[in-house]
Amino acid sequence: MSSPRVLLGVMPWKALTSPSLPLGLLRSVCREHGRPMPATWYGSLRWAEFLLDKTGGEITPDDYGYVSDTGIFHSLGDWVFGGVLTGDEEFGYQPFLDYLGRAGFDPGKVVPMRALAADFIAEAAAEISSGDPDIVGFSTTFMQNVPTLALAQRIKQIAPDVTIVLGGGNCDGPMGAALHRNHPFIDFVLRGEGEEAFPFLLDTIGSGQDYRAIPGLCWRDNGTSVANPEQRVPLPPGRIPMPDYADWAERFGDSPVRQYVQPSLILESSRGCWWGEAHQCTFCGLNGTLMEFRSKPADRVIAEIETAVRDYKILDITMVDNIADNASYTDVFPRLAKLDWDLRIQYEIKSNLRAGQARMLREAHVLSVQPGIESLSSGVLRLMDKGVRGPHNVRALRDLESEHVTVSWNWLYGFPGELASEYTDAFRQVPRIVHLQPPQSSSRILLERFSPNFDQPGLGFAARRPAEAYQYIYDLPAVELADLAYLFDTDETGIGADLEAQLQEAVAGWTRDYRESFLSRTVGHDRERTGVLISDRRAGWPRRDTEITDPVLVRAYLHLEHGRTVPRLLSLLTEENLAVDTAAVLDWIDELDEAGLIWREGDYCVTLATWSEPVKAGQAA
Amino acid sequence: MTALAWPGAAGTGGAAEISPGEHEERIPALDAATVAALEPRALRARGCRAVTIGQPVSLGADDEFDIRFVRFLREAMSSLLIVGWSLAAPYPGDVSDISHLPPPAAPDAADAGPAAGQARSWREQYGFGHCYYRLGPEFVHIIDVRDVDEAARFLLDEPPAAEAFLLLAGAVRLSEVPPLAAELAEQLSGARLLAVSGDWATVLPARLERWPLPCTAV
Repeated sequence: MSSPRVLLGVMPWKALTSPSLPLGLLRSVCREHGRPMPATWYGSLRWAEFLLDKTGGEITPDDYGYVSDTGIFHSLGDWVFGGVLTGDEEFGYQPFLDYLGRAGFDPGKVVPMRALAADFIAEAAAEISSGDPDIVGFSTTFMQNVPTLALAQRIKQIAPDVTIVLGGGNCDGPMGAALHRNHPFIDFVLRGEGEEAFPFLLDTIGSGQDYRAIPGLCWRDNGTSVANPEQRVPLPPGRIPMPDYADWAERFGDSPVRQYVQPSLILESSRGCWWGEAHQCTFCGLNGTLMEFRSKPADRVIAEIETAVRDYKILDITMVDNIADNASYTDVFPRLAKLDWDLRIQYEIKSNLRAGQARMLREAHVLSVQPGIESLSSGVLRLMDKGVRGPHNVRALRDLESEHVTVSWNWLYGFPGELASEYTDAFRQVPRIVHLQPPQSSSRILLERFSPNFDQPGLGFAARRPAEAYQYIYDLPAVELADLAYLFDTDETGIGADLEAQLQEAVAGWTRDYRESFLSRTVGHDRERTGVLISDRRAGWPRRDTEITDPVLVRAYLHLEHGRTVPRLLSLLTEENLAVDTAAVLDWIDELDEAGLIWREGDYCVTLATWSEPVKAGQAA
Repeated sequence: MTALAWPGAAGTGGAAEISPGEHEERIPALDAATVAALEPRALRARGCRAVTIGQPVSLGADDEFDIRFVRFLREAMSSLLIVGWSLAAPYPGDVSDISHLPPPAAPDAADAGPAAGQARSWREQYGFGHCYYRLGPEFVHIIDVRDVDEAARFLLDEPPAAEAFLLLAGAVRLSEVPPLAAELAEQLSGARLLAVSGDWATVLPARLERWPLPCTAV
């Protein structure tokens, strides 16, 4: 029997900058199994091109990017295709816009986009079916659900013999079963990792074999949706293939979208979360049902990066690891540092960086990190089981600023049991760190499926309902939405509206002052002297230089750069046989505190001056 | 060079691994020989964050000096070395070609001379990272947004072209470069990516060894 013609598709709101990792992986897997590599269809690029074309350039890839980058928590992109999926252009139309208004969220250009969605879906379905595929597989994550369903439905209408398969993060657990159960035009939903299950499914379709044997598969038995139990054994790292992006590179190279975005490759050096295996952060559901950490050997990570850069001539790389392996600091980053290529790599890391690790990141071309800062207060971080203290996070911000590494983070709040005093203490000190990178936003945590907060109602989120936006997008009963949803609304916990407003204000001030604020220090700054010179040019603070020359205080400053409690600092100085005048040291710490040169939490202190000043975007000449 | 002395003995914890921080240096005056010897990358490596050039800089009188100075500014931008300098006589080319390089100090408000006019224009147009290149394995990407309406990206994906580009990144005499580099120089010049003074030339895009925050701003 000849191989079926397989097409793999990916829909908006896949980022326009990069290829699809799942599609690239499945192409590689098919090749490894001796099958023809499936062709791919980038509905994301196609939609962006369609918008450009139909609006004469009025709706650009930047407008697309607004939806894909910011719309997830309001299902902005799903709503654009909601009218097509439900077959009712009015369905959820005004209630959703009212909802956005209440949330104070800018809809961008989703209204004119929605007006074009039906034509796009019709054109896309015709384009795909003209290739006469036997099987069309879609990967769906976050806001790809509704666009994918809308297109799948249309393909089935015009080409009923095409087999439609869905996979991806949106299919994990009960969500995939609900997707299958409620959408008869979807033939199969593959839940869990697809590297083994997808070729298995391709072998099984049309062979007369039993679909029950495929772990995690949702299929139909005489019209009834059946969900096989999911595979709980994670794919070993040695079997995680390198994605093949050759078709995307060609497609992207020919697209007018290329003029608007800088392409970035998507690679992975590990799966799962090593922190989450033991201490899953209470709010995080990103790993779905599979948390086990699996890291590729360093040789493979380096080889894959080198191969991809050579093959595609692209120097931006996003590593999609949930959290970089700690071993990377010894086996991957030093080797990346030896590459004399101008890479720009993005990684998610843990924020408790040790001395020297920020520099290792920069030298390894890891120029952008997401360290999971989340908060600057130890008590709140403890509530989320984050495994770091507030001052550690401040130190990480300082070290990454010093090494000119971009930090992405959000200040999360709304944790059950959090104390107002922790927030007011942090607000008081925020003006001290205006020279460090502010959060992109501050937001109340959401209840995500698969998170401890979701799985353990006792943690404080017992009352939950599917996030409001779902009802304006899916024409489904509440009980089905409850299985299909990833995000849930809950009763608010933690800090109230007053502190929430203060937090927003503190972050707004920080963001405003950051660009023109610098606080740096030099050790041994002068030929004759061996002290510490601190140069303060922060907005809102007197422009001044502070010099520390007393040898005991110089040592004390360097210890506080690491971060110490006051008693520990005193004992360290004593161990070094320095003549310590305890009262003088305590006075001096108070002076540092007064001048905003340390972050203080209880008796724990960490210094704030960087050792190098970066160039900040938009900074004056 | 300023000596960096380490205070105290190697301590415990992070103190032993502390980065010494950065200092500033002063250069009394520049001529073709001193500017040729100035390597911003080496200055940065020894912890120098900024240099101040004591004497105002005159451009337009010596082709070699002009190109070596442009190269110095480009390399300074590349390694984030802050250059404090003032302009005594203007650059003979179009200032918008070099507007991505560290501009001279703001002139006195009352100064209506040509150097002051060019300095003001340079400072107005300046933008870090507006024209840079990235080196990959045997290829070079060039990104040019000096003029936002004519933003351009180039890829030199043939190894000999990438090699020729790196040759032109030095301060070179065009009459002495191999034919392929001469051909590339002509193309780069057409795209305003080459500074040329007489027979001397150097490429204008800077290699970004240090990136701005956020790194996606360029």
